[in-house]
Amino acid sequence: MRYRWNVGSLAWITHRITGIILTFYLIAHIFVLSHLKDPTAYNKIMAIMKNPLLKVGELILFAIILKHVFAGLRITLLELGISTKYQKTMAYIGAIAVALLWIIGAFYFLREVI
Amino acid sequence: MSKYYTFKIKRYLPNEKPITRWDEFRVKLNNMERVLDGLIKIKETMDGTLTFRKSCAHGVCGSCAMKINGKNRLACQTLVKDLPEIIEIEPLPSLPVIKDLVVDMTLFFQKNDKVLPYLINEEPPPQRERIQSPEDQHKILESITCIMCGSCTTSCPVFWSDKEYLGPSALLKAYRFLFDTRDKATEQRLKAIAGQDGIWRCHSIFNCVEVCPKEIDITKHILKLKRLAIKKGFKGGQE
Ligand code: SF4
Ligand code: FES
Repeated sequence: MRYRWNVGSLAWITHRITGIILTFYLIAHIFVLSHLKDPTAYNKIMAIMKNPLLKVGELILFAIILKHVFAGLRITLLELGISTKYQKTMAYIGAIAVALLWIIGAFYFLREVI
Repeated sequence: MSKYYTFKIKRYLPNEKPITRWDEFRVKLNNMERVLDGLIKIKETMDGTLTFRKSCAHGVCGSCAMKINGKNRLACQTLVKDLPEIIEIEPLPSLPVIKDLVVDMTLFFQKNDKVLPYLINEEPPPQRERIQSPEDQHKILESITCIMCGSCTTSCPVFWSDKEYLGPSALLKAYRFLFDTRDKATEQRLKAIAGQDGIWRCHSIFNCVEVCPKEIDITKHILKLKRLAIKKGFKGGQE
């Protein structure tokens, strides 16, 4: 079924999708951490983490986290009683904040790794 | 100024094969006319079997809600000049279709019944009516303007996926009585809406607000209901 998207439903669906991705990421993350038992294992895993593909993945992960955080903030503010009149404005501000913080973060991140 | 519009209408004919098909009609309409005028012209001059609901034609009765170009709206309130030349019309989503644009609203009205849509006050009534001050009236004014067209509930993704959910329209009705100062059944009402199929299933998606022909901010009302339920919950049900 096709139905027209709007700011609210887009904010909701991205909040959901990023949330599901983060759940799976956290499981994978804890799984990897549980293998850091000794220096050799640590070095081995850190060597894998140097793979440029994983670096790109980390940048994407950073964007997903930011998006999820700001979507959550918007919903929390609405639930606390910030007027629903501002729901679209808050979604736009959130999107701008995500973009800005991602650019700043990516800049420092890339400076580290390159 | 008149212009030709193409009405693409999703037909549902239970006695024909195939049951569903898309029909196209070319209709000439001026810029004062609404989608409903187009539908009536089609029915009167091109295809008398086309079926849709309508009554008041002035956005009052709520019977002509349908999905027009991907969005629920009242056919009698949507000016054709605000739409592109191709107008795509489908029945309201997620309710069983009876014929063409007519859906079975039973489920929608059952939800309404679940929130006890009537005043409950056991106190003996005064000589005349139970007085309500203009200020108190103002608290529920927005929610009273609902015409029960069903646009909101059938636009809600939560309702699409879970037919048990009360939906925006019924929750708005619950608000209308919970915040009515003459009503005394707060406990009973909260019980009806705070279960697993009630207010907590609303995820503030705002699809309902986008479509409401009476421009009611339904999500605002549901959020207020949530806050009321939390307040009551913390105080052990006491005010
Ligand atoms: S709240 Fe608006 S969209 Fe929902 S039933 Fe009432 S008038 Fe229709
Ligand atoms: S016909 Fe009554 S609301 Fe459209």
